[in-house]
Amino acid sequence: MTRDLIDRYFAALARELPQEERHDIVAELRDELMSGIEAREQGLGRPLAEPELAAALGEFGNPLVVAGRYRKTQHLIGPQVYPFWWAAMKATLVVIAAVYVVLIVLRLIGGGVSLDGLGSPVSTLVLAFGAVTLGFALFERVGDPAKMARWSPDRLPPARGKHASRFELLTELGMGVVFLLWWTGAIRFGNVVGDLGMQVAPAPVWQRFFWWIVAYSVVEIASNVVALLRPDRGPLVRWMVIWRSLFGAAILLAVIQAPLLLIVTGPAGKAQAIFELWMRVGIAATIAVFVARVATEAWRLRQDAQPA
Amino acid sequence: MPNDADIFETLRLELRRGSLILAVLGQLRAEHYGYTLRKALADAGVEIDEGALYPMLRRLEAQGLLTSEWREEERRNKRFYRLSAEGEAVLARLVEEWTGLNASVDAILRGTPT
Repeated sequence: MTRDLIDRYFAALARELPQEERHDIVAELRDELMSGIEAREQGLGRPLAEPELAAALGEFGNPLVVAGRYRKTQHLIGPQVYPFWWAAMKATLVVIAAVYVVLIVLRLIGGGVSLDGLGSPVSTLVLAFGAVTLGFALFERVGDPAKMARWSPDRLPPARGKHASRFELLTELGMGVVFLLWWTGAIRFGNVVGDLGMQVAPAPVWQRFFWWIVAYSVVEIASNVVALLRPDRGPLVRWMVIWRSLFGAAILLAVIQAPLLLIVTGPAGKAQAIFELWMRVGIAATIAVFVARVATEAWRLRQDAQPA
Repeated sequence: MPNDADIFETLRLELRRGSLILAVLGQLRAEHYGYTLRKALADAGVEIDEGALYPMLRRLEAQGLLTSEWREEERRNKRFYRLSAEGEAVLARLVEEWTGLNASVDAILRGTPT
């Protein structure tokens, strides 16, 4: 019976050990345990009773813990990688939260957002947590974690100067992601004009510029990600904003030439004309925003270049 | 929230961790198998549990600081460890480091920093 308990213990331990070392480790640990038991039996002048033996095995340690100590890797994310994992995790979770906040706000103001293409916030956050953790765990094992810690003081962002706040960047990033998801059909909005018996659909001109708009949106998201992750690359970010704003303005200037921007169907006779007008005013305003952005960023670039 | 005893225990373990390797390497200038090594260390005032000792021995052997061989003794097969030539050289350097560090810390603790 006592022998059976010891055999069961080492069988449980062996299952947790790597195949090639199993026999060696178990033989050595069995000798350690038996030497200890024999020493105690010699001291007591009698064999150990079953509860005493169970207590000795208990002291020897949980097989999972004992076997675990032989593993080369004792952690999923080690202390060297942990600060970078934490920074990436915070950024990822904040961006996802920003996307959902934008969607929720749109829903509250009557956008009728359908999130069919996205998971629930909880599943998306859990998935992102898993993906980031897996990426860093793999990097720690097959990459060069020491490389991560290398840095240059030149990369520190300036202590002074006008820069977009993190809130501003995250809001833009969140809105950019929501726009891209909507544009590519991952999420849908309900009929924003309510149940007035008419339908509003984009005119074919938008389809012609589909990929141009996707490209613009990707560049916008990228420039915000760069601005968030590399605050030291101020001039690069400003140039990205300038080029994407010029790009955006060019797309909209081409779109606005089209005779029809929206196709409104329904009983309301004047609806088409009203929507067209709103749309044109909206697009013209957006072009003006792009141009203003180009001017602001160019001016800030000039200011940054001047000595303090 | 950790209490004072937990904090002390954590710090004590951290303090001991590095010196245990030194004690094990030092003790293995003479040949031992695991159980007698642990007894010899305990008799010298350095307690180490088997869960920490055996993985450490394998690691030190993999690093080339120890050699080992299986031999039968007292009716059982036992794995005997001994410091390798490389282990002796590393131990000499570690002892030098330890002595220097000990002297510095001692001086700080006595309030006469060098």
